Amino acid sequence: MNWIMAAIGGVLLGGLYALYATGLSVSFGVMRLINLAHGDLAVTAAFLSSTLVLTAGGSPFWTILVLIPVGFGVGVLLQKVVFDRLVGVDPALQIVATFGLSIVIQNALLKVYTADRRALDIGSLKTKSFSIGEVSVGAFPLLRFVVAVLVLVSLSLFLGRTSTGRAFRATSDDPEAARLMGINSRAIYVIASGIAVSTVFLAGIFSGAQTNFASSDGPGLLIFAFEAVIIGGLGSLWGTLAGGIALGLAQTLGAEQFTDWPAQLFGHVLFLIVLAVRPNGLFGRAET
Amino acid sequence: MSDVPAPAHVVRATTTSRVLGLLGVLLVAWLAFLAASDNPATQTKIVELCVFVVVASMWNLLAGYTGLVSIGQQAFIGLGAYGLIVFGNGYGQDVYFSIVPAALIVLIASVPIALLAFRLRGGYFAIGMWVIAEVVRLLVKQYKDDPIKGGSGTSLDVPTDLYPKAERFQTTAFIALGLAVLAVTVIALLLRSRIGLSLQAVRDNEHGAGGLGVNVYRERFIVFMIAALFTGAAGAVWYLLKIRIQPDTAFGVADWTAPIVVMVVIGGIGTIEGPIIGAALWYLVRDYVTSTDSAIQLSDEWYLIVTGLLAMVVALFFQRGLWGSLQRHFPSLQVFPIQRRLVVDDEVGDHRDRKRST
Repeated sequence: MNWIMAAIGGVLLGGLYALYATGLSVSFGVMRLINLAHGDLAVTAAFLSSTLVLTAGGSPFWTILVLIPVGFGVGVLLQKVVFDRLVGVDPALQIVATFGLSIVIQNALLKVYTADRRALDIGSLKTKSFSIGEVSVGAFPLLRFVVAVLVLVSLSLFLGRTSTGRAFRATSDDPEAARLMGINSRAIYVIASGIAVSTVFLAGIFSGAQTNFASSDGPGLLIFAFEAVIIGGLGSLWGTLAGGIALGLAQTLGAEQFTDWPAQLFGHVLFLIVLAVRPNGLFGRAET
Repeated sequence: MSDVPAPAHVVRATTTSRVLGLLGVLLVAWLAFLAASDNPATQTKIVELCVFVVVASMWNLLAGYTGLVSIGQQAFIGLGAYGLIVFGNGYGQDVYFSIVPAALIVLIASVPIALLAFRLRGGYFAIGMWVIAEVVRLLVKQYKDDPIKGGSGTSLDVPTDLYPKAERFQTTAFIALGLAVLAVTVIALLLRSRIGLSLQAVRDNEHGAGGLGVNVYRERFIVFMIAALFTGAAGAVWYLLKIRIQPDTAFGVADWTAPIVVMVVIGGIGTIEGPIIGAALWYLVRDYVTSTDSAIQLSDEWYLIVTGLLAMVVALFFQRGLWGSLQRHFPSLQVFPIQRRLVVDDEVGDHRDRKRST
């Protein structure tokens, strides 16, 4: 029975990882850009949410309604000020610039919020669970998973059914040809970064409601997001969901079997195995 | 009128490079003189500076010359450091000698690491290296027996009857200085060699270089191993001085790769001199802003915020960094004669630069 519980927990956790990874997947898919400050942005959202709750009261859930548009704005701003200059340049410069951004965000958070860990209080929802026979499922992890899947569904509907989504896919496939067809790639990039940051803000708040967080957590979250993208395969949103779930399963099942070992190690090991055996990921297209 | 059949010849060293080279030799001599004094604070500074010169130069060799941007170099630092612990504490070897097998272990470990990480490109290689460093860190933390002692860490065994403290500081400072000189020399010779030419061809245009017969994969592999060897040795030297070691700092990205990236980028990526200048500036400025009697004082957080912003600004607007920008304005400025400059001998016999190739 423990195994079933661990497997369910892993799948639900995978939803969160997919939510983390969505922004990374979108930025890379559209701009070939890797933002190493991705995880730090998630931690920033969790801290902002805790500040909002402390000053205005209430539950962290209402802060989502405020912070998703804020995240979109942050993404737009980052795109205009930083990322626009990094599209199509040497990856080394992308890495250095966004790594610098990551150092700045981490230390700014450390300065403002100290090194103490914080948590977002969601009250009784945190401990609530449903029982089906002997198996019990946490209500909050389930909610988180449903939200993650809803975000991915709406994103893929947006990409698949709208004209802006078509422009996205065209830019992703061939920015030069897309531009010749009259697509404003700069505007597409701005939307992509807005989506990337607002989804990772959402993930940061959901994660902060489950476990406590500190200013130095960003790099660890970036690694999970990155592993989900690579395990699932580049360039596929559903692959990212599958990658997140595979990562979550590896962590919870690994920790279930080897209780003395840290859970994240099993995720890393799965990532290295996928890298060695199937470098394009489980659902990846051929080399880009 | 000249009867020389070849109308041009290749010039490598210039007057500027000879003068600057001489200054470099004098600088090393001065550091050696300081290392010989018995001031532990100065010796500590020399070790820290030299270790960062080594690791920053090696990161630059990878990122600036082969396009392999790694944010997992802390894997090699930590492995070198724990190699020192294993041979020093575990097998009871002489601690100075233990640097050699520790560095060789890192060299061996770099082979499987490269085999995995080389499957990823660009930014994904960078994060992939980071994941590998994390795996090594978690495995080391998991080994709770002697001599590693898990996540709580351990101390290098240096009984003062065998290794008097003053002598250890002095010896370590000399080893660190020697390692830095060796590392920079190896890089300069490597870049002067045929491998250096193909590396720079690969960096500038990977497919083009491949088409001209450069074995891109092999050349990268060799450079990756050299970088691992020296980075591992530097990690061992660092902990020869610091004694106390914990996996979270020895394998910490914020402790190692973050400052390295900032140093190299500000000093000038893709130049030999850049990382040296960047590392020296990092320590000079840090000393200045953290000492109590200077005009500008910054806490550690502010120092990192400012350097992180600087790295961003340099990466976005001044991609050549300090040394690279200087070289752009003064093309003959180079300490290490690794360029090949074609000088055409025309009829009156004066030399005129026609074409420059690096």
